[in-house]
Amino acid sequence: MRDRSERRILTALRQGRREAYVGVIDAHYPSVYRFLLFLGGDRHLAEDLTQEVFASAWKSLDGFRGDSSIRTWLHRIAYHAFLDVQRRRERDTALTGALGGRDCGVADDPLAGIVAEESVSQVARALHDLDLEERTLLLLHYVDGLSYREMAQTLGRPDGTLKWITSRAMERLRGRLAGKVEP
Amino acid sequence: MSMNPGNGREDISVDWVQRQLKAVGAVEPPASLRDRLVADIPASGGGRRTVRGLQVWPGWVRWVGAAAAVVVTASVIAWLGIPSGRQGRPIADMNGASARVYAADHNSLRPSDTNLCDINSVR
Repeated sequence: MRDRSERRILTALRQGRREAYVGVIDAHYPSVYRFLLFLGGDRHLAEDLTQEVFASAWKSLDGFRGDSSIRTWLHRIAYHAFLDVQRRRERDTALTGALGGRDCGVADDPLAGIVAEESVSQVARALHDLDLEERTLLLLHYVDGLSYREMAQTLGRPDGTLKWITSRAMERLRGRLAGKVEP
Repeated sequence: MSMNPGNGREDISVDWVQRQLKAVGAVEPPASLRDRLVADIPASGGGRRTVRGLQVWPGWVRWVGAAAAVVVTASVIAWLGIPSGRQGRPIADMNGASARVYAADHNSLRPSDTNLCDINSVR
């Protein structure tokens, strides 16, 4: 647990104080939504999953010991919720393929219209083309501003390993953007 | 900006990519999402919850409960009379034998006690 204010918030949540719930939503739902949005590239999925994340957080409140910050805790739930959806999608895609049908789960350009500025939009697309692990790390570190220690708590992996993979992911992203955008 | 000899394309600086990623983070969620999340706050968001199976009551309820427990305990102790004078206490016995005075219980006098209060007894 980071500081006393987070401890107070957690106590208030456990006492069932409504204003504490609203405070946590207001403080964290934009970053949880953005993380899920750029992880999956689907607005509707991001909205539904954000809702699922908070519902799941309220349910597992008693099991949260406060070893990490509330933000890290919510990102961890979000990441696992996304992995669950990803697994379901893969299973459905495999089933659809086996039945000789067409996969309707992925839009042609899932990020269309999310970011207005062209260069930012290009970066978002290039980000989406990276593999899930690299995308996750770049989003957590550069978009949501989590430290490597917080990322380690979120993903359950050593922070040194994550630092190395994040650095590699940044190189891959730069490589994908080279020639496509004009800085 | 520098040319990459490997692919002949212009390299993009890490700083520039980081700035763009920060701009990605400026995307705002729809306002309706907040409404949905607030609507999903569990009903116990205004009542009591449990921590590891134990009920967690609001602070004032706990204080009133503790005060009531103290009052009940004190009442039970007073009612049982613990400690009370009924147990008696040893006194010096003129006859050199140990005896107890049951000051509150006049029916419990034993023959050996009579020498304390019966001036007519002749030994």
